Amino acid sequence: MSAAGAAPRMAFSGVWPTLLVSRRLPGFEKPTAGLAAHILEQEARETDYTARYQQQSFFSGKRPSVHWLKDQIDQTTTAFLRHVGIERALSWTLFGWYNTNRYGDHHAPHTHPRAYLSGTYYVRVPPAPASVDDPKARPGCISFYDPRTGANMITVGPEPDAHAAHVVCPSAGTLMMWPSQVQHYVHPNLSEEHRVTISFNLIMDPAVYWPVGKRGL
Amino acid sequence: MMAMNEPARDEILPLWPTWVGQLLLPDAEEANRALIELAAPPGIAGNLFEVDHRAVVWLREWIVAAVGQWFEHVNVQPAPQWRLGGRLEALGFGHYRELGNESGAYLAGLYFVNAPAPPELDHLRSDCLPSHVSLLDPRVGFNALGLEGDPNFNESRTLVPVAGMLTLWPGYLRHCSRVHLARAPWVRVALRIELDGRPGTGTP
Repeated sequence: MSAAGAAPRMAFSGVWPTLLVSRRLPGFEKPTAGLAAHILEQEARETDYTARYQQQSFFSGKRPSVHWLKDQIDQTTTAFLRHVGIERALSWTLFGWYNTNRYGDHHAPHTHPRAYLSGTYYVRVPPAPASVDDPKARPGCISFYDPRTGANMITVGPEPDAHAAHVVCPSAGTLMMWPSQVQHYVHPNLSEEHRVTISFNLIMDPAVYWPVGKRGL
Repeated sequence: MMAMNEPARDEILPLWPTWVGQLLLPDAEEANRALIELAAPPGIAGNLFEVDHRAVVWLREWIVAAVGQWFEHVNVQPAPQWRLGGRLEALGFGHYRELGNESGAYLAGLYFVNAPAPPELDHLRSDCLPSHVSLLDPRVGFNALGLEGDPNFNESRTLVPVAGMLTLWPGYLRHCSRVHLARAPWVRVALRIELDGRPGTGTP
């Protein structure tokens, strides 16, 4: 009865990962220029439209650039579902809105209730100006927070559980998607250039959860 | 350090997985027989690992090896000093442990001394899984809109106890032991691994 020197190795399973999708959209330059022009036109007509995002219906627009982005999101969603092993056909609805962040604008930590996936497409992301002297500042970046609240409370430091925030500083042409339950925060834009993005909620159609024939009391 | 805008990589990044480690201890039969004898009434009160017994020393050595592998796996090198607590349990008919975690512990876990006998009831529903251990997703509510197949759908992972299996998980993770429904006791050691000294200092 003795523990061997050449110990067998413990098998580790990483369960319940929180999946973050990042994709640089191919051929994004031309349609993204079209999206930027479309948003500038709307900005000229509306004030504070980013704060009133629920009144927007971005994907109902008929412009080719809007259709291009919607197609990209649909394709990425299908690829994501395949990645997690879901091959069956599903149907969903996209609700989208644009965001214009001027100097100092930001989005406080939030989630997107009632959606399956949420995401953002980055149209214009100004670089952090050299004048920013706060070494902790991540202007224009987005932080995602570990949904396992408190998992970092007893940690040593180097292990992944110690880092409750995951910061991404995306560039234009990037599409990011994540589970809508994940709390996230958009850092202040500290550039005189506008930071322009298009965000969306992807809502699975109810029949996905309760197929016809299984509904009812 | 100022943030730079990053060129996007096409990836699906699995952030913050909750690690569960399992190790089937070789040549465990002799030690397990001794631990079953120790668990018989009056049993061991308090920390099992303060008992001077060959089987306890054997189990401690394996836990030391497993915890070392854990720190290696999560890139904590050198491993910090830690102390071990263990509660030798013999669950009888109708005994269970409700949902809870190990407050203050870095790691928690179970060592299964024996495989529990099958339930002595024949009317149980198929989803009852007596004498199993369930670990619960710490992302409470994440399954609310989960789709069958995605990593959010199943809010629990259920372990089938195997004699000689050592399982570790983070101390914050909530778990429960389903009701034991056999007369033969289900013997296990509930484990607590606490960091010794100030966290973040490497070695105290």
